[in-house]
Amino acid sequence: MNIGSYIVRRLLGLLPLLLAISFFSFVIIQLSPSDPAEVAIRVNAMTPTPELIAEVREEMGLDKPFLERYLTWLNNAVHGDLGKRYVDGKSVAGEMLKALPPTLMLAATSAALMLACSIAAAFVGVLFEGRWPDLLLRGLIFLGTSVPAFWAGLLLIWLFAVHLDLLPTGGLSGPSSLVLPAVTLALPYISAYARLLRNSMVQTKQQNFVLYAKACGRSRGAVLRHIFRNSLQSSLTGLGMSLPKLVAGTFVVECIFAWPGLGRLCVTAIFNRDFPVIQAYVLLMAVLFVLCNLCMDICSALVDPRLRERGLQ
Amino acid sequence: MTFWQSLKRDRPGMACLCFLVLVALAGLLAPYIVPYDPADIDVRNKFASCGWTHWLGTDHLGRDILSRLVYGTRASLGFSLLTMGVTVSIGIVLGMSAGFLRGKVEAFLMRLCDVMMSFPSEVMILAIVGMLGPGLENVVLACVIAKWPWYTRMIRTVTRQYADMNYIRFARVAGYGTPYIIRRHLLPCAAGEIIVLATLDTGAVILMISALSFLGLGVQPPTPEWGMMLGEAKDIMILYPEQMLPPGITILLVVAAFNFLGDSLRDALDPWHHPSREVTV
Amino acid sequence: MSCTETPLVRMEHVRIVHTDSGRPIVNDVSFALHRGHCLGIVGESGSGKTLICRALLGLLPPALHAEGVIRFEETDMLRASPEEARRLRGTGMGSILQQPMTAFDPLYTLGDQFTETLREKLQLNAADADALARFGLSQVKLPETVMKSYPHQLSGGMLQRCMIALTLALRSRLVVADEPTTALDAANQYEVLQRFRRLREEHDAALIVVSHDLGAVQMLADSLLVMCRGHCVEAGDAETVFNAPQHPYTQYLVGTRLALTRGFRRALGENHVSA
Repeated sequence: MNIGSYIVRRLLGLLPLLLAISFFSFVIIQLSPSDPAEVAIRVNAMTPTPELIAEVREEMGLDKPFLERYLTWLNNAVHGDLGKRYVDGKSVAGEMLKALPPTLMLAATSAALMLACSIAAAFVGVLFEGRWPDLLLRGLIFLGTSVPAFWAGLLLIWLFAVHLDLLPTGGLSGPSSLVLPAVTLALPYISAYARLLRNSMVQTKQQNFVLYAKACGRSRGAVLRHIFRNSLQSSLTGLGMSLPKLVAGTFVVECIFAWPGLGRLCVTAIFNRDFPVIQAYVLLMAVLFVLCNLCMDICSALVDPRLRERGLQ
Repeated sequence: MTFWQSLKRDRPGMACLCFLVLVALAGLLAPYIVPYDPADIDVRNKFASCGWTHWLGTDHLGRDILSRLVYGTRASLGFSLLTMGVTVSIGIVLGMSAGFLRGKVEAFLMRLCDVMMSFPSEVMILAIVGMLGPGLENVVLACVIAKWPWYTRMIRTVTRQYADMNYIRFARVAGYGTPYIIRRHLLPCAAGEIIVLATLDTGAVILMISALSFLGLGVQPPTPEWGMMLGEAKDIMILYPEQMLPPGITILLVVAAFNFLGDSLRDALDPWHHPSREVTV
Repeated sequence: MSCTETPLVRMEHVRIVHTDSGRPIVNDVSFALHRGHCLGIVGESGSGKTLICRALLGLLPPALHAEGVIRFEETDMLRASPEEARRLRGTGMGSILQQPMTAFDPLYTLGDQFTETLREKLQLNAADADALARFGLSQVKLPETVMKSYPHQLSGGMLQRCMIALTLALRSRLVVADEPTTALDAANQYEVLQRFRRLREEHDAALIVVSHDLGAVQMLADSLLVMCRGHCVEAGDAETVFNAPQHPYTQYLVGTRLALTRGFRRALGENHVSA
């Protein structure tokens, strides 16, 4: 068996989970205390009379039995139709597609920043273990896990956009507008991942094979490379968990920086009680999360021969 | 209890605990210690700088910032503690039932946990707030719903681990009922891990509540809350940037104290703890 | 046996001290080891055997440091720069570690790890390193498929032999083997001991064998060092120490060893009768 069939098997295993997720994102709106039909009418600044509500209910298919509505919705969702926005009747899928690239761009930049900074921090931590650069870095990392991201974002805006006038305060207008949101978004994750990677490397350093590599007179660089590969392997799961969290966590940052992405779309929809958008957002995020975990598992299997064999058995 | 003793020896950890107790007390006793009513609007006196009359100055409506911070403790700290209390209770009840009853109950609960945990908690919280609408109670409910699977799963693991140990079997054979065994044997064993995780999570919940309030999805005015105060300060950032400092620093300190305390508790619980020990072969 | 030539390894009054507390962990160890000879270090676990080897290699744990004189060939190991010490390890002093199962990086094939080490230490090109690695493996009777195996796919005995193969390929002038037989079953133990004997005879390498198993040491060692709680309680010619142990601890070790083998032989004998 090869890695291809491993991926196919994992994908098949994910089907029930994806189904459960779609059910959850459908049900969550049905549990809402307010009637979607009434909300849809109110959003358009009309008075919800009983006749009008009944009419809209029929139009939205709300009078049909629950399971039938779910299956219709699922069928439409699979075909890329996520319904219409209450506010302006625009297609939800279209709006999501428009908002997806900025969010992904922001998340990807942040992820790259996070990886680069964490790896650098972890190396400093291991090379200077217990000495002042390590201690300083650990202090910074600790601060990073505790600082509210939105506050850090505001401070960054004030310093770089208002005070120094180097970067735009918000919006999407060229590469320079990406800097502040990406840094703000990455900040808490850098801390979390750098800590994970550093601890993992400090531990790998104690392993027997590192001692043997040193006993064979391997150079410092070669030994470090082996330590790094092994710690990366054991912290890959942590990375897999934090990547979709990064995408999900964009909503605060997008609101601060007026970034035209998915998170902001969803927060606006919450204010407008625009249920189809919230539903679609939840579904999209969950699918993204599951796929990301899958990617990480595949990466682990590619890196680690032991996992590869276990997965193929 | 050795756990408490080793924590007592950890001075920074104790300092964090004392600080948090002080902050909590200040929130509880807010009406007796603050000099001004947090909702008292005094427009003539807006943006007053720090001084003897207003220690931390006043905001854009002339309200005393220090008073608002102290009152804000109730929403931020109080409600996050409430959230964690409810979450942990649910986790204990469901986790213990899963671990003890086994069979279908366990299978069902664990599947449910799997599905819930396959969502990032941020999305979960946003979805639930979206469904119920903005408001502090909804945020608390959302946090509870998003976090209970983690605790249920952890407590179930601990339960299963200990339920097979000889002394628990012995207690069963000796005729003690399940509630007695849970209270006398299982809870003390699980307590350490629960406390560590809950302490670290409290910091995260504070961040979540204040982030949502900052966006206007959480606490509604005029109730003072740290995140909301930041949200108000954001609008006047260009002229009065110093208004961002008091609430931001307060959140930072409290969350940092919880995180530090969590680490100290973990060390006290298990001096040889290493986060990735189980990963290495 | 010419004792006039300078010894390959010389230790004089070596102490290993805990740096912070100043507490000595190993006291006053002295020995000299010549080319082609074998020194056995025996003692219970925790008696400081492993630390002596690590002090020689310059790989003591960070909290410890060594005092006294440790010379390898012309180099004063305690005053050598980290870079000098590093250059001597591998080609000068090869090592066989205690736990073979964890001695190799689990993420790379053994072939990768072999060639990587050989290229770095002997400045070879890829093809030469590969050929040399295969030669090393053939010397310890391992199939060439081992080159493409990951550590978890091999047994402890095979990995032990891989380490020996690497010292052969590196042509180490001294091989330090720390508990080379503890992790192995009886059949593998014998096999590995045979390899060591050949290593010594064919390559003229010196050997330091550390063990708590007197039997293994008895097969190889010319001279013996008996450690007990950080002190060297007896040193000298292996034959003499085995036949006429002076120190009570050595007498106890030799005594239990004989009792054990007697019990083993008796059990074997009875089995033969019943079978």
